Amino acid sequence: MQVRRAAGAIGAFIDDLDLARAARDSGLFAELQQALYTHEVIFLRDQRITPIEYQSLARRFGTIEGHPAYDVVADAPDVQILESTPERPSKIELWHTDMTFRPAPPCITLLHGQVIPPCGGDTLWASTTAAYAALSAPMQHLVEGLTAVHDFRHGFRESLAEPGGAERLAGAIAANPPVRHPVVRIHPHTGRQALYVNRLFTTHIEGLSRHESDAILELLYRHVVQDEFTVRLNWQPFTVAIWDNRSTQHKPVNDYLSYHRRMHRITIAGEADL
Amino acid sequence: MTIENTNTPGSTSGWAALPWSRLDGPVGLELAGIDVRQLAPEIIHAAIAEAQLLVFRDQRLDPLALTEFAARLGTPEQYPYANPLHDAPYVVPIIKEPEDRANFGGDWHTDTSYLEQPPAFTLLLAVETPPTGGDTLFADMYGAYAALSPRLQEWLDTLAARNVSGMVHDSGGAHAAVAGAIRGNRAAKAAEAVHPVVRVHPVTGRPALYLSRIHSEHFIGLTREESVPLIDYLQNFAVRPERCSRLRWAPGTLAIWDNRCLQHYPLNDYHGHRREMHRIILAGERPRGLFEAPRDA
Repeated sequence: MQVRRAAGAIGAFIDDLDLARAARDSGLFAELQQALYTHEVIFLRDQRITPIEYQSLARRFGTIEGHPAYDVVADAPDVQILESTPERPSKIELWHTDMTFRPAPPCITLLHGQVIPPCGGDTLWASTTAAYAALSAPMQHLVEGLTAVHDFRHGFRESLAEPGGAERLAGAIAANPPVRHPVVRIHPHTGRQALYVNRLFTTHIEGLSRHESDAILELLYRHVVQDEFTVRLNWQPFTVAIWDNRSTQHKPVNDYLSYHRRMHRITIAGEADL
Repeated sequence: MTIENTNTPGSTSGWAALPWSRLDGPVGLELAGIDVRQLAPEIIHAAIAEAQLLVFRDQRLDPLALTEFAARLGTPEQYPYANPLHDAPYVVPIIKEPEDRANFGGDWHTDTSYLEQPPAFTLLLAVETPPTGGDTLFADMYGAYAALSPRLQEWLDTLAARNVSGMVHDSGGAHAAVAGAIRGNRAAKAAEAVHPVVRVHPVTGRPALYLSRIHSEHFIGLTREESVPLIDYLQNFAVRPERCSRLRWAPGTLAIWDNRCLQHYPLNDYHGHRREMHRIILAGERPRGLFEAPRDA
């Protein structure tokens, strides 16, 4: 398997792998998984796999889970459809880690490009392990042992503010009360420590005043997304990206919203008690 | 560490029998109708330990008299970044002319924290004041520390900061405007000192936040990128209005304040008018943090 690093801290392209084969071959899959753990996000071009094949590849990573806010592919219900059109443009703008409002947030996310704008719509990822390692020792000491609260309502606040938004999302809100996660989590496979707060879903750090919490979270959010800790992917039709939510944040670049974009997403259930 | 604010005049220490009035705000006592030279230094020290800031009105003190009075309270020191009066080498005139825009010390700070032993006290006498404006705000750094959450207190207790003169006194310094229009000695040597972020007051034993945006360059062990947002946060938090008293000056007003537990901010809201103040600083000790054992214990 040809692994080509994409940036200094995070990300790699795998140039010679057909994901349909990795879905069938456990040896290939193990290599793929190792590359993911090492590089935290991996990219594969021209993956002309069906939603069914995509789904069976994803199942090798673990238990697939759904999302309260997205439609799914008709014959492959594990595959969520993320669609942005000029009429209904994407609202996700901020750096985040997927679904940290869950008690056991997804550990891995797969995204398969279906309809890609002629330009724009890149995605950036940041390594939260590189970011943690780059904190000074006193800062590491400050954040270790802290607990933060993450809330679905915070992440979907703009949708909730729309007419009918609160009614549409009432079920999701009821099913997703605020949860607590450590500010520094340890990756169960690599043992690396990672910063685990994000601008989209994290509301505050417990045990600090709200203003102190805001100041420290802002510092951490900015720290994580320094260019040196990031990689940027330019999507093409049938590009697949697979990332580890335990050690990354990502940000969509919303510079394509006059175009149609459709992605197929699968998320893998993560562990609880981080 | 939390210590109750016991800022109530007691009955046994002598100073409390005087007709003090409180400034609006958490710090400061004001005494009218008395010549400050009539007060014993111990009375003044006891009062300032309690109130952090003392204000006396209608004092007739020429530079020599001000120096004599100051020398009874402590050891006057020369300030490296401004020229003193010719005939009173410890008295620095702080003047803003009608045509000046910047004012000296025009941002929140504690005096000269970039020295190894920053001045304990500052005496400031108003000589000429604008018809309105030119007040000084004083913020309680005991109160600022006490209002932090215990988790952040514990962390800050272990930290020290590098305080530098250069952000104000270098011509290209980030806060160079704070040096104002003072006719000063811009060629004075740059100074820097590392001091605890939480300072234990040598007299009261109370912990106070000891940093400022214009002097504190970074926390030791942290990068500047990490330090700046925290210093910004702490600076803004420290000087919230509930921790501030405001002093209105008139010619003859004399203020004596304790730099170890206060920050101050001279308002620059009197363009077109002249303001002249005479300042003396009194020697202090090397700041001690909570992480250091008392040296004389």
